[in-house]
Amino acid sequence: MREMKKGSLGLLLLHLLHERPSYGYELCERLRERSGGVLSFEDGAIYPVLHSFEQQGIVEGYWESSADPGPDAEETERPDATRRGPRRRYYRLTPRGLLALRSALSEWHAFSGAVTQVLGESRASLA
Amino acid sequence: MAMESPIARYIADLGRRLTVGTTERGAILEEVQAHLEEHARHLQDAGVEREEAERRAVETFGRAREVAGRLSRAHPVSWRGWRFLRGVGVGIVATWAIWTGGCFPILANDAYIHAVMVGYGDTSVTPDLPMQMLFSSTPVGSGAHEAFQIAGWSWFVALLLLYCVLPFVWGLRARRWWTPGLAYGLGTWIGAPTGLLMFLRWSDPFQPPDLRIVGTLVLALLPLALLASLAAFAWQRSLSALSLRRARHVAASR
Repeated sequence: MREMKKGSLGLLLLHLLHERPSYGYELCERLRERSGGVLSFEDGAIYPVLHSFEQQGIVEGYWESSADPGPDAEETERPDATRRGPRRRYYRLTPRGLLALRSALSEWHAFSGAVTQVLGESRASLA
Repeated sequence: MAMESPIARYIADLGRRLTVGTTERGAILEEVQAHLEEHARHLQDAGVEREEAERRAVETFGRAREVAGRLSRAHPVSWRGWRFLRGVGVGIVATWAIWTGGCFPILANDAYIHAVMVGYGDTSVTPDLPMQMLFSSTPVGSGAHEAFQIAGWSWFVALLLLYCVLPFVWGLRARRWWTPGLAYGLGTWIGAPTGLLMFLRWSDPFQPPDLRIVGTLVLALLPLALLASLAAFAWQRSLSALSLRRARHVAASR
């Protein structure tokens, strides 16, 4: 299970960034919340992935003051936006990142479909 | 923030372990600190005491040693501009230091033993020898050939390995594997012009054979430095594969 989580972290981050730009801590919270607590990583694990993506041009990082939500944010999405705090580094998907996400999703669907097919046969035999 | 807080201690520890450029280190630490402080703030909002909130935020983030290693690998060092020039300078100094430091003791010891053995006996002769030996021991002298004949292959190989340490270490974190080796090797060529002179006078029949050998060695040191950088790149790749295998083993054993 741990290895599957480790291998899917990049795909999950790209998917979340495709939905909307986010910063590191928010990405961790969204991962935990959307997976119902099943997917939990060490928070420090996502930054090397994000930074590698940035080096490759898959994501673009930019600094924002936490008191200034920026043009992409909606008021309801950033309840903490009015609280003054240190600046945050947001990440957004680039066009190249969108291509990478589509490719990774395609691979994932093919892989998970094959595994499900095998396990489906296995489950039938164990029933 | 007081230096003794868990977050401050973690940031300091992480900063010590990161092997990235200065600008990148500052940005990484700022990003990590913002993450930890926000996590601690949310825990405090839920009623956790501040110290405990910070401790939990740090624990959830992961051990500084592992996080720093992964972050450093995600930020290779660029060898452009002043860093490249500094590498050339270090190459000059290192070449002279290793070359002279390796040859002089061999030549001086041999000269002293020889003087005693031929029956001079008068040790007042030796004070003149060190200066001659010192010049001959440098990269612009030809003493390396004589030192090799005295000390042999083990001495020679040991010096070559010592020479390769710096480009190897630099190559571990370089963005492009060849840049540290190129800077270091160029420093060798600039600091030891015998190699270039030998190359220019290659067809000169009056060039002394020992100088020709020394010059060939100098020319070969730049490709050797490049090889050391390449070895570092290959080592880096193998370490990444090893750490992944180790992580799998640890995960499987839990």
